[in-house]
Amino acid sequence: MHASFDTLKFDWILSRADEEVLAKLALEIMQAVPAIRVLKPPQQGLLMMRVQETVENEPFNLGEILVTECTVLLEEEGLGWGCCLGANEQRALYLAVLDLAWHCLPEWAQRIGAALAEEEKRVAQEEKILAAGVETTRVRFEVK
Amino acid sequence: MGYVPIKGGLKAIEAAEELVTYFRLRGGSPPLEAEQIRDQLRLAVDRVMGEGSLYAPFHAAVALKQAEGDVLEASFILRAYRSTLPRLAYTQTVDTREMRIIRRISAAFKDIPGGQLLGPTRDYSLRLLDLELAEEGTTHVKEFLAAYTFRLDSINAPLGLTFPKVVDMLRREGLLEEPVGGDGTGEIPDITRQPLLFPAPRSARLQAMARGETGGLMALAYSSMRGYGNIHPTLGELRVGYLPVRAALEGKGKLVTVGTVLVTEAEVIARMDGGGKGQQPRFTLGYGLCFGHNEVKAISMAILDRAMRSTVKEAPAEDEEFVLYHTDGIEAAGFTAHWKLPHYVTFQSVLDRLRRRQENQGKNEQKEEVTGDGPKDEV
Repeated sequence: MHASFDTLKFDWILSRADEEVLAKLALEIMQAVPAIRVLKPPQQGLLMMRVQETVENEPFNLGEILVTECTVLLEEEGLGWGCCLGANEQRALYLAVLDLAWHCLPEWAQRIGAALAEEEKRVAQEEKILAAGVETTRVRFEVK
Repeated sequence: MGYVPIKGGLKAIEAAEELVTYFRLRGGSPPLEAEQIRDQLRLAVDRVMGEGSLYAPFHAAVALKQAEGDVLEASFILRAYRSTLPRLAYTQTVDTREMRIIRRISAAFKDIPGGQLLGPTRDYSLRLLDLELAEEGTTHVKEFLAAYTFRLDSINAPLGLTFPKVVDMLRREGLLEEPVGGDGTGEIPDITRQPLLFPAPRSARLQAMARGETGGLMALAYSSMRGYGNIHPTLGELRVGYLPVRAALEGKGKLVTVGTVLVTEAEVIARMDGGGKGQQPRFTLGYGLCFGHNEVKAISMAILDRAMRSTVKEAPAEDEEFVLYHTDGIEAAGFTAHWKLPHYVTFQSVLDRLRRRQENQGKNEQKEEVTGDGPKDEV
């Protein structure tokens, strides 16, 4: 595993990463390691979103979220699992392959880490622009 | 009551569907892309996701296209789509304090920790029709985006804004009722799995309202604000932002971040409660949260949440059965639309009864003329 991300961070960057970047890496890995096989083909499903409200601190079910999940397997190495928002079979497959490689194929983890570090920068720039846009709307109301 | 099936009309129905397509396309303008609807009609998309109770922006956009912009119909289509899919898991319960804010205001306090951010709002804009939008072209779009992001690039703003909550501040000062629920161990009712029964637990009420129809929720909340009830709300805090979606799915075993969803949250501070023997008077609160950017819905939901918790039920908005049975857009629109279906047999029987009564009345009147008895109309 690449040292620079913990698992939650790794998943978070993957969830925001550009699909072309994911595709390029995942397809390369699948070509180099043909023994990776799809255990559970990409399938759409629902996650019920649970939130805790702040009046009574009560949890409740807000509504469902459309996701696509996929599982791949490399015998004697382990499983790779991918889940993305929306209906996107390709992306779910790429995520599963990258998850497997990240955890089980150290020779690939380095490259994945480097690519994701780039994506992290790009996402950070997007976030920076959004945060700056929101910041420009900061207001101080005065009572006359 | 029994139902009698009706047959026939298949050809006409198929032709009607084709005619719908013709009406959608006969103007000859280029077909709308789902991405265009998703990006540029984002508030309509958000309403469809909220009322269809499925967070799926692309699919909501397609549903809007299919329904020719009818939000109720599009929500119905989305909810039907949802019913074809397996439930994979519940997400980890997320504390809304984690929300990455794009908008956050308070109508109760001008100075709140973290400050007020108007975010993307047209609240303070004049409602003047902007005909320049009719001339908007791709060059305008590119120029605006380039200039705007260039300007923002030089601004240093804190990333991933999360703020302390106004209610937490009030609570620390002892001004609010203490929370009673939520040690997080009890079973959380899910109205997609168990029918809504009354009295409903508050969490079921919140779930029902989160997928309620904006207009219906607003009408009932408005009745409460105008005086059919006793809430007198002040908007403590309104937030729009992104919540993380984390789930532990089968095959993974551990928690993963799947993405983020946009939500709107409202907390209203309602009138004082208590103040009786041994009780400090406190403010009470109402809570609203829904998918997407939909402020009217979140505020209405918060007002109704508080109204339904009134101990004395005097107004429609305080009656949970009244509120929850009449604010599901899909059920309400479905029932309203069903009157368009053939009711020939039921109506025929009503017609028969009416004719019989008319006949009977005619006979009685003839009798009365002969005998001079019987009730007379008052003059």
